[in-house]
Amino acid sequence: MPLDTHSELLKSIDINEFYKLCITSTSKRPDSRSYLDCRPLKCLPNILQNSNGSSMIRLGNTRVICSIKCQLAKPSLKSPSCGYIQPLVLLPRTQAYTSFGRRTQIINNNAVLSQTLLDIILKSNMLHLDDLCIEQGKWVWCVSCDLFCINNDGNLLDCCLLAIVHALKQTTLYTVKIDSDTGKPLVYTKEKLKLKLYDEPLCCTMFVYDNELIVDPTLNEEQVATTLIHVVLLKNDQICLLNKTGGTIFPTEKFQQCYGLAKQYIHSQRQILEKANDSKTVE
Amino acid sequence: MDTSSTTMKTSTKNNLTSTSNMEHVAAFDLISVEGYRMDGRKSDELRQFRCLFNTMSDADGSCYLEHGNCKLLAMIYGPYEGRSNQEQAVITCDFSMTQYCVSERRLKTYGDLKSQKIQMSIQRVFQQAILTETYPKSQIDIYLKILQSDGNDYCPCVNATTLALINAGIPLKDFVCSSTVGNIQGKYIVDLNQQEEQQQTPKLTLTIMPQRNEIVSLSCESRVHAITYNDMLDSATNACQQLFSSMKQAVIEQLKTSLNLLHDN
Amino acid sequence: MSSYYCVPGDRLCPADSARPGPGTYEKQGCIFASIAGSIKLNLSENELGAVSHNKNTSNNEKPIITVVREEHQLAVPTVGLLAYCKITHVSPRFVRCNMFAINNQPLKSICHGMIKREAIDSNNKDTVECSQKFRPDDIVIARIISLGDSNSYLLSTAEPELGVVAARTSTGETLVPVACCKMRCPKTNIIESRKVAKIQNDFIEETER
Repeated sequence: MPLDTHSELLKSIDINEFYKLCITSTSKRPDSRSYLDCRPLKCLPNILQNSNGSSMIRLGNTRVICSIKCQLAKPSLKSPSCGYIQPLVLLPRTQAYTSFGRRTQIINNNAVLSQTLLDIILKSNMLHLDDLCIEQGKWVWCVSCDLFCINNDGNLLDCCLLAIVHALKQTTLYTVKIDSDTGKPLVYTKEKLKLKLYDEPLCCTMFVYDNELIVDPTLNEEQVATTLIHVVLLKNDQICLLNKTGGTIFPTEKFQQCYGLAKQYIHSQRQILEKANDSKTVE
Repeated sequence: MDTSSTTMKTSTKNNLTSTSNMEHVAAFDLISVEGYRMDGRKSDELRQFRCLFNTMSDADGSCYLEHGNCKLLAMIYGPYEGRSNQEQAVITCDFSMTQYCVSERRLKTYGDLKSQKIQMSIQRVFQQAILTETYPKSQIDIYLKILQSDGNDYCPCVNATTLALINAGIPLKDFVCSSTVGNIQGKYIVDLNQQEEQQQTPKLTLTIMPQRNEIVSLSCESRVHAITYNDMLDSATNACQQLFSSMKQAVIEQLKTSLNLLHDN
Repeated sequence: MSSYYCVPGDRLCPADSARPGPGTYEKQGCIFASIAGSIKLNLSENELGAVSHNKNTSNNEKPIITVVREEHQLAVPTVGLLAYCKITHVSPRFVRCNMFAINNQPLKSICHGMIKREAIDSNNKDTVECSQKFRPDDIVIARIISLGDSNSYLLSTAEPELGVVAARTSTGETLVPVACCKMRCPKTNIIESRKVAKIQNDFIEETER
């Protein structure tokens, strides 16, 4: 039996065994990355015409499209000068029937991811909701971020956050003036204003296997890993979110190591993002 | 009663969105004096066609198609063990749009009447085109996702599904190509975009198997004189043949690259 | 390396000069391609010698024309092939399993299979107890004997070479086969009964030597 089909078979029989074998025999991951390597990252800005801002992120085989749409809306009574921002993640419904469990689970995942992203956006102060106000108590912008995951190969949170940040950077708002007589808003589609961003939270996901920290898990690795750790850092390396999802316990010193790793990883991500932005402005 | 009221609602809503974000262009402006259309094409020229294969590693076959401003994904899952016990494969189709594919953000992305219609017609077309006897007791799923819409969604969906099925290696009788043709100012223009689609002029949608010269489906939902109808059919067939040659080229390119990869390894 | 590519719907040749193989279909006296790939022409064995023999050709003497895809081909469960499966459920009358590979070719998605009590062993069919032959999570090689009903394929292990190839105890220890119906835990030496595949036996003897 050729070797590659053998490992394929082992993978379908017992994924844990397969992973263990791979790690112990080569001390490398099945896709021949070392523990701290991340997959190649590619950012494409402005891929959709009908949106105010859009982006596509490719991290290995994981692909996420983000589209930002701004619409006029009435503010809530509680906070009359605040706009809205609503991230909404959609995993493709197609994958519900293959290896990803039931449809309800997918819907749950969507909700969890969307809420986590909303939390990150609000807590990190990356955009001030006051900026989205047009006239107090009357009109505000409602920024909806629709994320569509074309291909899920693990590490979705990193990708989604990257996609949102990258798309928000491209986002332009129309100028709106309120007609003083009728009170109706007039939209000037020709005059555009860039949305102001105050920070850039980026996320690093890792997991613990055999007392080793491994970054950027693929979908198979997410099945093997008992615990995932998300670290979200701001521009000045402040921690914005730190999340460990149950699973194996490990000592507090490990968290220090996590932080160091995340710092490195996010630095490299930030560089790639900036490069993608620069090349766009040159063109 | 209930259903009729919902249709009324959706149709009025659609009308609203279409008029509010599209400046109305009179029909006589669509073709310039020199004979060029709004986007600079000649009357028998297709929009730009580009496709990529194997975009979803998870699916058995997949294709990303860009046809002018229309961008969509087609994925094939299967043939896998289905629930039915029929002698031939069952084909299902799932068509959905994204919230951001049209200029106004839409909340409902699937299950409305328009997408159900597309779903049904694609299912029927491919039940004909696929050699379903090859896979008894199994099921083939077609998933279509519109990322950016440009008027007619049906034609790009058919073309993308054909390419994705070929990518998945599912036996087909022939390619299936689909295109539209319209009649504006006595000229037959092919492959309408959104602006041209919205005119109140005769339109014809044709789906053919280009190498057998067989019509799979044809729809013409407007008043057309019988004489012009034949001409429209001719130019639609021409458009489909053009489309076929570019699709064939894309498939052969893909075959060559995969062969080269195989031999390099 | 042939450079003749074809796409679905291409007319390959008239039907009286060749026989349609995989990837092609016959219609209106012509053979057409049904998938995209490269064209292969296989001569049957007696073709070379008997080309000029007589014109009353039987089907055997025509070459078979096929279209071959360069990428992986999709494995489809077919009667007579060997399947790797994992046992999911054992009941007194039958055993349910998930097939994940066919003839060493992994399936894209698992298929459901069922082994009936009568098809487990070839000798003393009537006294077979399913729970004495398989346990859940065993890896089994079985032959597909029928496409079965809408829920599952029918499998059989009633051959010496078919049966359990890998199994574990409840504590996760890998079992070692010792006889055609027994497996032993290497740590506790407890014997468990299984329908063991014979290939494994030879292999074990070789390694112990």
